[in-house]
Amino acid sequence: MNEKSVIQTHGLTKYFGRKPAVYELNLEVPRGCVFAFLGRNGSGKTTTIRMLMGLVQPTRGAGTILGHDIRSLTPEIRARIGYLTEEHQLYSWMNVKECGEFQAKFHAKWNDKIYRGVVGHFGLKPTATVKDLSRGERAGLCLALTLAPQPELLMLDDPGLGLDPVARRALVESMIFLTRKSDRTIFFSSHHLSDVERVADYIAVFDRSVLRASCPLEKFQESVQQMRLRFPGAPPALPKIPGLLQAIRTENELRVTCVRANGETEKILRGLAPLEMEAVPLGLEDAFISYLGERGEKTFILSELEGQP
Amino acid sequence: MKTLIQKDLRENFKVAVIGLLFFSVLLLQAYQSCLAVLTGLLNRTMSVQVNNLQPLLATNLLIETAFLCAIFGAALGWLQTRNEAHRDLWAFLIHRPVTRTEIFLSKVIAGLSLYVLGAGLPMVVLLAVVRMPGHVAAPFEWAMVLPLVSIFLAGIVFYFAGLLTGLRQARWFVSRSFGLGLAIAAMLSLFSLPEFWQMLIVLTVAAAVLATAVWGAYQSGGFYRGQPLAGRLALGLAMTAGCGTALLVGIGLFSTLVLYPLTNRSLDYSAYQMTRAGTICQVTWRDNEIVSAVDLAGHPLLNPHTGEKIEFKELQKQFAYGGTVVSGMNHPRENQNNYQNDTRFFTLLNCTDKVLWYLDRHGKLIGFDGRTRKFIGTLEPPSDGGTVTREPFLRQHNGYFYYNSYNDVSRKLLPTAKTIYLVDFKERSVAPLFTVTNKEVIGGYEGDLAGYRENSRNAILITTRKTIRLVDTAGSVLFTVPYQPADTEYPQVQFTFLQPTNGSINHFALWFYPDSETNRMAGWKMPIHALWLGPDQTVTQSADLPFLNREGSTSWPDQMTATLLPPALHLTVDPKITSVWNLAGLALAFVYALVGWWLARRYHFTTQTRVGWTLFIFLFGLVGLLALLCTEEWPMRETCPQCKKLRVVDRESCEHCASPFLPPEVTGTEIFAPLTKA
Repeated sequence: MNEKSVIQTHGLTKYFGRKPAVYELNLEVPRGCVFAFLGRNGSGKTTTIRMLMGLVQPTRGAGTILGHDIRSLTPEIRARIGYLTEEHQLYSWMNVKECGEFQAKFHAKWNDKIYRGVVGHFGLKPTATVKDLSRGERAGLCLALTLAPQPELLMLDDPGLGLDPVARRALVESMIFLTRKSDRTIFFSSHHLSDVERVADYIAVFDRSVLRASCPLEKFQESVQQMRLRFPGAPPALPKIPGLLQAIRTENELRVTCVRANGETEKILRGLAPLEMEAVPLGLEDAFISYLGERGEKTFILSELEGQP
Repeated sequence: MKTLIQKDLRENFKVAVIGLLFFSVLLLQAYQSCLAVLTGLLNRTMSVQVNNLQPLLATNLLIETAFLCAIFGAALGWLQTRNEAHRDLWAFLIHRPVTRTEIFLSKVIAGLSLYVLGAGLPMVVLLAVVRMPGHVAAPFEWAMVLPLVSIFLAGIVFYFAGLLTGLRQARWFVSRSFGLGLAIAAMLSLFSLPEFWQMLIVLTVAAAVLATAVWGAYQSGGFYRGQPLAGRLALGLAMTAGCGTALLVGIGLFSTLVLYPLTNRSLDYSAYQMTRAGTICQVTWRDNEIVSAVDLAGHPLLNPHTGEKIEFKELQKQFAYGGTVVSGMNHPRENQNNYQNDTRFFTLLNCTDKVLWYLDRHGKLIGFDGRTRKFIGTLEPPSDGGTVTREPFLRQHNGYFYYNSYNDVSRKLLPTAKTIYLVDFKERSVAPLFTVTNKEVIGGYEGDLAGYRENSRNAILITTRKTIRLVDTAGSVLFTVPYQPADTEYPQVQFTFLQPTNGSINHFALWFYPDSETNRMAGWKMPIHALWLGPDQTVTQSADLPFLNREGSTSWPDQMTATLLPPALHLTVDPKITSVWNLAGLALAFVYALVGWWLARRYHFTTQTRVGWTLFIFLFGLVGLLALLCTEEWPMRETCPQCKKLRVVDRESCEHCASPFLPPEVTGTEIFAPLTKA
């Protein structure tokens, strides 16, 4: 085992019935980083996290978290991991204060200042019961419960789900605060790419149960490139391009997005004799959408509808 | 763990309070109904079931409490797990830095505490009321609490079954509740096992199996795989019991609704009957109506007046009556009624002047004032003057009738080993009526004789191992005959008053019936011995009548459905091991075992597991096969690209050709780079 890694998996696979939810996952998460786990809904992110947390038994394969087999996590290891679930479920009859007291009794490193700080940031009254909290407030409470034990590894399953932009910003700040110490690691899944862009060191991208990318964030952005080609008339048919993700065709324009575009790619595209060809800078969100969108050549959705009665 | 216990106590407290209310109402109502029985008895306004006089042993209370304990226990267990059924809340619980065993224990401690509060507290209050003088006009001893205790404990078995039902992540949803099958079986045995310790063993085993299965489910998040061996074994056993219960219910419904109507089954019952003239005939009844009556040669009986075939109404008028004595007077302590039966502890003998007289299991007559419901004293056989200890009154082997006016002579007669006493309840005195000779011990007696003569009710039939006597209420012997054949093989004596001839009253018949179990072991070859006594007390005639064999009365629907049961259970339906149905059952068990073997091979279980399941299925038949299907998880199978055979996906490599699973297909768009900070 690599001691610099907090999470390692090898061939981790989970089937639900006939469908693989996660297939042959080989993943490594370095210690002391913020690792974002990205993918579309149903791509296997939550199942992976639940397997890593020992809540779901893998169909096959192996994995370790903080150096321990994920199939038999001990209480000591669990105490070192803060886990925030996707839907922010808590005991509905407890109030905010009781939630804190309940959680504190399990954690020797419980920091009440952090708890009160996060709870206060979300404007939660100690006497408010969980069942009366909004989804965002519940997310804030869950975050406080996860951060206050000062865990070594934070596993956050879509922590921004249901949070307004202000609350999400608070969440991001909390994550930055937490990782000011170099041995802390955050592993989180999210659909909020702006947040990911702000805090993540590395990303892993899941596509239909399979891990397709695992790299530093910058590397991902560098690797996904888009070229805009202008033509005097309708763009010609596109030849086979290595690493092609998408080609969007309009009246006299072709936008080609591919992975690791190089001299050969440029040569192929120039062979189409465009009037003009330029590289379009992509943000993470655009890169991500292109990466996980439908592969191949297509037109805009609405232009497909033109001409229909 | 303390925190988890507190959390669970608070979370489910309202369930316990609801249970407390239900139990309180039930027990209060049961107590009131016992008082109503007492009032009815004192006022003689109704014929009453006297076993409802002691609330702790009242049948209705026990049955209703059993139902409520089962429902409350199962609901409490189920709710305790269903509260955390949402996968994220479950994750929140399981991610506590404590072992899953601690989570299990905290759940169980909290759950059982709430169960004690909801079910136990009202029972303790009932017990306190019963113990306080002036509340219950019936004897009390601590052993009477045991039936209620065993029902309370059975509720705990249901509690574990409820927990298991809530936890199990079975793909086939119905099988999630199969843990309840074991609890139901345990509860049913409560009303059939004679001793508390036997019940305690059954409940302990059932609770241990279910608790282990629940513990295993906590280890694996409710799945079978990932459980420790003990958990898997326990779950397998629990599922077997559940499948067995479900199968029995299914068979019962199928037989009742489909097979029996098809067979148009009616129960015929044949027995010998003696006419007043002393003629024996064989009468067959169906649905309480006589359908045939023939003499021992098989000819239909004829009306003596008309010479034609006798009408059955006329025949019934000709039947002679008498009484039956079963030799088996026991010391009261030896009475082997079930521990939840009040006749184990006492028998209500008489109710005179608002005083209830019970014969308790120490051989004492105990009186309770029905109005104040207080103990007033005891009546015992008079001391013979020399001995310090008095002889206890003995009790009838079969107890006493429940419905009675309490004025019959039988209710005034009480035997010790040597003497029949006549008890005067008004005067509260006991006087000897008849004493057997020194070397004899009373085996049985009957004073409630039915006959068409006016003085039949003044006669008492008394048996010892050596003799059979008829005495009158003044103690005079009317006849004595030797007890032959021996009472060990023929413990039941029936006697019949016959039509008086020559003005004599000593004209009757005796029948000796073989012990049923001994006769069964002898292949039902022991005959019924009958003899006729003439006016001078001599045996004028005797006959050995073939026992009307009951064997083979099991209908073919019973036999056929029995083949679906575990092979060992077939024998309880058909004791002949080589019968067609038993062999069919064995053959089916073999087929089920083959199917189990094939399934286990198909899903590539380990050899040990494969052999284990196959043997298990052979022993338990269809139930075992169903248990396999319910318990195991069946992974997806896909075609191996190497050997083209179907392989299970939960192995690291193909079980046929050992080739590993292929990595995901490369699309050329993968982005992998070393994870090192810039």
